[in-house]
Amino acid sequence: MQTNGFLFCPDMKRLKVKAMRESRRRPIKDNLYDLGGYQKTDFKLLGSGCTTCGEKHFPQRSICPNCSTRHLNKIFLSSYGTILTYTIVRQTSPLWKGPVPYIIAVVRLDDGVEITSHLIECNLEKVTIGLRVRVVPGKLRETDDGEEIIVHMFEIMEGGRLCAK
Amino acid sequence: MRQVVVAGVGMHKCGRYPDKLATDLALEAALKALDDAGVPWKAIEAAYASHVSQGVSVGEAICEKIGLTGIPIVNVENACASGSTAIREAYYAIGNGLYDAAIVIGVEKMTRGVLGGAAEEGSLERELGLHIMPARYALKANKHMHQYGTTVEQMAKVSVKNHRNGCFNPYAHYQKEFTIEEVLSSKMICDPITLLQCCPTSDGAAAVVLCVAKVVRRFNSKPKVFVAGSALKTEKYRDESDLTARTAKAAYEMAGMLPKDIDFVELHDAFTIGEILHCESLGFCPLGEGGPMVDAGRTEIGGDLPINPSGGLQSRGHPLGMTGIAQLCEVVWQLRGQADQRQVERPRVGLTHTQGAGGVCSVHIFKR
Repeated sequence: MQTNGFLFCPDMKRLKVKAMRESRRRPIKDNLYDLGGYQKTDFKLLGSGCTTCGEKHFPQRSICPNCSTRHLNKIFLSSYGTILTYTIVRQTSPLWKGPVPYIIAVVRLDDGVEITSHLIECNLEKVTIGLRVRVVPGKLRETDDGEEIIVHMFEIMEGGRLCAK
Repeated sequence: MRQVVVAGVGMHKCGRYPDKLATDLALEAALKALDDAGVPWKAIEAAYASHVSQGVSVGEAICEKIGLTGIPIVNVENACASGSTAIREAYYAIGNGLYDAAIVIGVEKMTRGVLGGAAEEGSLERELGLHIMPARYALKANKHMHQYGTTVEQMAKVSVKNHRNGCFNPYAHYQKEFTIEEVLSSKMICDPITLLQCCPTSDGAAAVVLCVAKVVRRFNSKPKVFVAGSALKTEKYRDESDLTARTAKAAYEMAGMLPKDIDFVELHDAFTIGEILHCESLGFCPLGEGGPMVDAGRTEIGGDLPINPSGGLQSRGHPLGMTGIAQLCEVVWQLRGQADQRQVERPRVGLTHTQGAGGVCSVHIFKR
């Protein structure tokens, strides 16, 4: 378990709110991320960890889907992982408001949690199964009044800068 | 449990019917099934109506057109497995002595465009555009290709085969053959799945009449098709085994059969990779051999295990609530030897399989 005293430090919170206002960026939902100072490297996924069976989940849950107990802690998840599979979505449902195409990937984080999201800023030909990625904040879309909606995305790591793990 | 027979089946041709009501399509299928079974409406003791997004109490609206007899009517929604789920409910009710005869009606009028899966409005999945069905299957396809060397040509061959079969099915939405090149060069939807590897969006309806075996003689003398196995399962958290494999195992055990006992299959080929994956999970070949099985022509109507002789979802269409019931219609026609040009050689056992959004799977085994 990682402690998150950092999160509840009032000064930091105030700073974060200020940063958010200035940048006009906000996460798509509450309680998904610790945004840090909006630097890529500060961005962390908030998950839950089951104190009974040890299972970890993202997004946070109140009941463990593995053992159905309710004793869960808030934890930071690993920011690094490996692509299990991916696809390039070229035609999507009318409900999708963003641009196409977009790439989605299923990633197994180093702590075992599997999450699915968009891959950002990459050459389509470079994408393969097994590539190392880092979890970073990415712009999903802009609201009508120009606010950026931020979600977790994956960034392919260049050969020499692979995570040590 | 009492033995249950599929006494009669009927379908409305799949297609696009902007001028018809869903209940009109369903009515035609229901009347055909009743006529085929020779069972009068007054002998029907319960009705099950499967549909996914047709609105409130569609079952009641259909039955109102046939006659208000006051019977229990249940509307069933279980994504792509809705029809199979409704059949299973009727089967257990009859088998356990609740009713002697019931009708199961499946209907859907599909909206055009890419099908979204089971994601709640406002959910993270939906906001991120992750829930759409071709993307889900494309993710599986890329993994399978990476793991086992399955090729896009093998996937295209599934589409080619099923569209060819559909040419002989008067109820199929599309009666048109395509070449491998045409399939692969059609519009890319989600890599590596192209348009002609996706099931079309169709309107359609199908119905079956189920009867307890000892009663059916009163109504018709057609070859009897028995329900031998029925299984319905959902996803298990962090389950190593595949959902289809787990569901199939339960159905095989109930029927006292093995994959080698199955003579032909109607399975969930909403996207071509699905046929390859499900063929493996249903136990017809080892993992990774689904592609080579298509290459060898084993799944053709004349092969040793015909898959989707009806044309499958690829060519017949996939009106969600209809599909599981249309699969059973095909099984009955095949087992009775009524499938004309798409007839499989003297089958005795047929298997149906549907899998749906939200992680639901149903497998049924029927025998003569």
